[in-house]
Amino acid sequence: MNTVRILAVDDHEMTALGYKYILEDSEFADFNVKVEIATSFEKGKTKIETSKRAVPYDIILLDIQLFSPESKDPRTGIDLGIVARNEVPNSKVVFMSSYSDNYRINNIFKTVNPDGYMVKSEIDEMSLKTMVETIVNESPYYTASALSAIRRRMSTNIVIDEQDQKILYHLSQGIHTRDIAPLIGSANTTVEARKRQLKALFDVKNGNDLALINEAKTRGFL
Amino acid sequence: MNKYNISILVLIIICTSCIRTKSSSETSTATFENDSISIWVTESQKPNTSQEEKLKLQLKAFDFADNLSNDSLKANKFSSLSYSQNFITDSSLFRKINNRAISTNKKINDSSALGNAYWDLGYFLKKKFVKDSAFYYYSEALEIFDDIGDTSNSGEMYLHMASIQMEIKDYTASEANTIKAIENFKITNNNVRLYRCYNLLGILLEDISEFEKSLSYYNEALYYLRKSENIQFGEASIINNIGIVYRNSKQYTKAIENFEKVINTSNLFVKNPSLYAKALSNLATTKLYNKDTFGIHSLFTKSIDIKQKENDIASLASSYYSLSEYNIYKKDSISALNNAIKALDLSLESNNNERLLVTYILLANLDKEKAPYYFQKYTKLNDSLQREDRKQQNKFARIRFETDEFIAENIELESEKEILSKQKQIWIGIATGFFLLGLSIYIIINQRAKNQKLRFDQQQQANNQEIFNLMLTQKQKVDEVKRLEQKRISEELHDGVLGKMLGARMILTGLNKRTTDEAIHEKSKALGSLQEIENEIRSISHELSHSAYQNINNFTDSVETLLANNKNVNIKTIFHFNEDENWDSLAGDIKINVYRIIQETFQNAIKHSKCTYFEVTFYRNDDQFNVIMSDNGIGYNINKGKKGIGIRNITSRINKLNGTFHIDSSEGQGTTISLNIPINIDIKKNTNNNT
Repeated sequence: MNTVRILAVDDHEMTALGYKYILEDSEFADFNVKVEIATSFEKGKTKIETSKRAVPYDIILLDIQLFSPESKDPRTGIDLGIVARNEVPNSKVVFMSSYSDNYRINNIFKTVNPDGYMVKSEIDEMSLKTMVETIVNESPYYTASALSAIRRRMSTNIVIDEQDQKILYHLSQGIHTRDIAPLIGSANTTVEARKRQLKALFDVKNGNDLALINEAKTRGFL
Repeated sequence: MNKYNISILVLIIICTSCIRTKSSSETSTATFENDSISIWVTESQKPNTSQEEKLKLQLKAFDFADNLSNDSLKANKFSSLSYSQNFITDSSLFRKINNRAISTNKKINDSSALGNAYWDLGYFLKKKFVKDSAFYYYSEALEIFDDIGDTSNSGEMYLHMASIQMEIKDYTASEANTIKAIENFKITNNNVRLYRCYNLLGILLEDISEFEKSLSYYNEALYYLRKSENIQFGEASIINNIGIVYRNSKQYTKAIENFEKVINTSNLFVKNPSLYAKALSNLATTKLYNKDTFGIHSLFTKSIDIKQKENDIASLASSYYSLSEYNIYKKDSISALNNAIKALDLSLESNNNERLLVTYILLANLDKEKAPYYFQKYTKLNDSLQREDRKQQNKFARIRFETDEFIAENIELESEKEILSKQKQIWIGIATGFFLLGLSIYIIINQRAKNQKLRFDQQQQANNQEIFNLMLTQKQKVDEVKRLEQKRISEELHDGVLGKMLGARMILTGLNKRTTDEAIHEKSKALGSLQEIENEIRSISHELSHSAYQNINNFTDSVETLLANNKNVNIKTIFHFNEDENWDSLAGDIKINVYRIIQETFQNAIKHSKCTYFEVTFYRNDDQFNVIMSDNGIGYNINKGKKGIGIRNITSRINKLNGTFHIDSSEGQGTTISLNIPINIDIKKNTNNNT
């Protein structure tokens, strides 16, 4: 009987423990599951790096938010994902996140290209079990909302570059146009120009920024 | 020498023609009188009417006219009676009638009729040889006709005056008046009258031996005479006159030619034997002077015959005088003397002084014994005549002078009036000028004041705009903070609460089937976590609620920013206000103007007071908003010097808010300004500064 080794990284210990209990209690057809937990970014990183020298994990479950908002630490689970991809390319990476917005998900797909993405509100016994089974069978696994976000994005012909994507994202965060420029490292006028282009692209006529954001959301860019 | 005869003849012609023209012009009035007067007039004209009966009729007419009640009718009647000199033969009656005519016409202001009445009087006096009075009335009439612009009649008056002046030998004046008459007649284009004028001029110039001019005037007279329709024997008489001129200028042949022309005029002998006789006599005299004595005597006798028949005494005298000259030429001294004496008698009878003078000389030459007597007579007569003439001339000059003076006076009055009216105009002009000047000054000042007010309002508006922007920025800042806070709460919910809840759910799910001690422990931990989440949510909820109820005062924030932005680090600023009050609920006007006043005062404090401390205090009750601003600077004497622009601005702003303010300051004691602004009463509507 094979044992599938899983690493769950989540700053909330209880969540990680929850995964552990659920998965270890689940009954799989031809393998057992062993879950290790790491409750911080650093611990997760150490475990991943250690696993490289010993036996790499089969699946690494990563939370994106690994620091409390007050800590202002910019590092996220994405960074860990990148580390995992570099250090242990054979380990499957699955993000377990409460973020379900297109931007974040697509961003993750661009940088890490994970083997699965689960939106936390959709996680339960069944989905966790299915996820493990699917991943073990070398197939990607996405929960429903994650999948819809990816699909929306893929169904459109519009191609926008990373700068545009960032501008849209910041706008959706309620940041003023004039404050966006320093965030994306370009001039104010550039931001304005790109905004105009985006409006034309999304066919937003006479609309304000809110209309643009709404349109971007329905088209899967946010 | 015979010229006097001729002159007289001409004068008679003038007078008759004058009567003629006048009667023709007034026939209408005459025929108009269908009443008794015209009947009496015609009755009196009948040849068989005796002198007494005529007088009776005249008196009847006078009484009739005098009893008329209507003024204008009365005037009319008297005028016509006065004019009918043929009817009124009694001089005193005429004077009476004429007097009435003048007075009644004066009464009804009929200038034309009045002029005619004067004319009648002048004519009457002239007939009675009262030349000076005649001249005077003519001049009166002239004045009236001139006044009413009756050119034709005023010309007539000039002509009458000229003839009188000629008679008294005032040739220059006569000539001048004749020329005036000509000017008038040329306007009215009256050929007959022009003829008379030129004729008179001819006579005048002949008298002063200007023969050539005289001839040309006669020719002119002929020209007009021929142009006029009723020539009659005027042409013959002028030719006769021309002949006399030639004779006097010793051109005897030409003279004879003219006289013969006169004599040969058809019908003259029958129609005008007197002129015919004169022409005969003149021809004879001329022939005598030309030493052509053939047939002269018969000419003289023929002439004398006719003249005797016509009873033309004056002319007869001249004929006898010429005959006497002829007798002398023939050396028949006795006949000469006889004829000369006859001439003398006739001259005396006809009152012809000129003839008398020459006859005296002739007699003195003829009658050697009586020569001294005749010379003495001559001298006496000549002297008296000259004296008389001079006297007359003087008199006339006086009359003319008076008239001139009157005219001059009129002119003077006129010019005075003109000056007065000019002065009036000038005054009106000046007054208008001043009025306009005043008006324009008023308008300019008014406009300037308006502009100033407009500028002030604009400035105010700009200020208000500025503060509006200021408060807007403040609001934006607040909104930003709010937004950040919302974001923070959202993140807290997402990452904190959501994560924890997920954890609890996971544990409880995972350990659902386990009943081990460890599992039970973990479960209770998860439950504890849920409790934690409860508390966390409560606290977030509290925060939200707090931020919702927290007053965010743009107004006070603005004031705070204003005070905090002062560049002078040495000045400490303090702002007291009750945070529980809703300061933003104050009317926009109050907020803006108070903000401006604080700004102004603060600037002044920084600039002038050398203070180290500036304090602003707000407090309000239900209907009053009070602001106290104080500094610890050098202060100033509020009673000294005029109000600065700062104080004036404060006054203007406070007035706008219907508030009051008070400044408390003295040198070295700092300055305190307190504002007292009513809240509830309506703000003046003339401001549109609502933010």
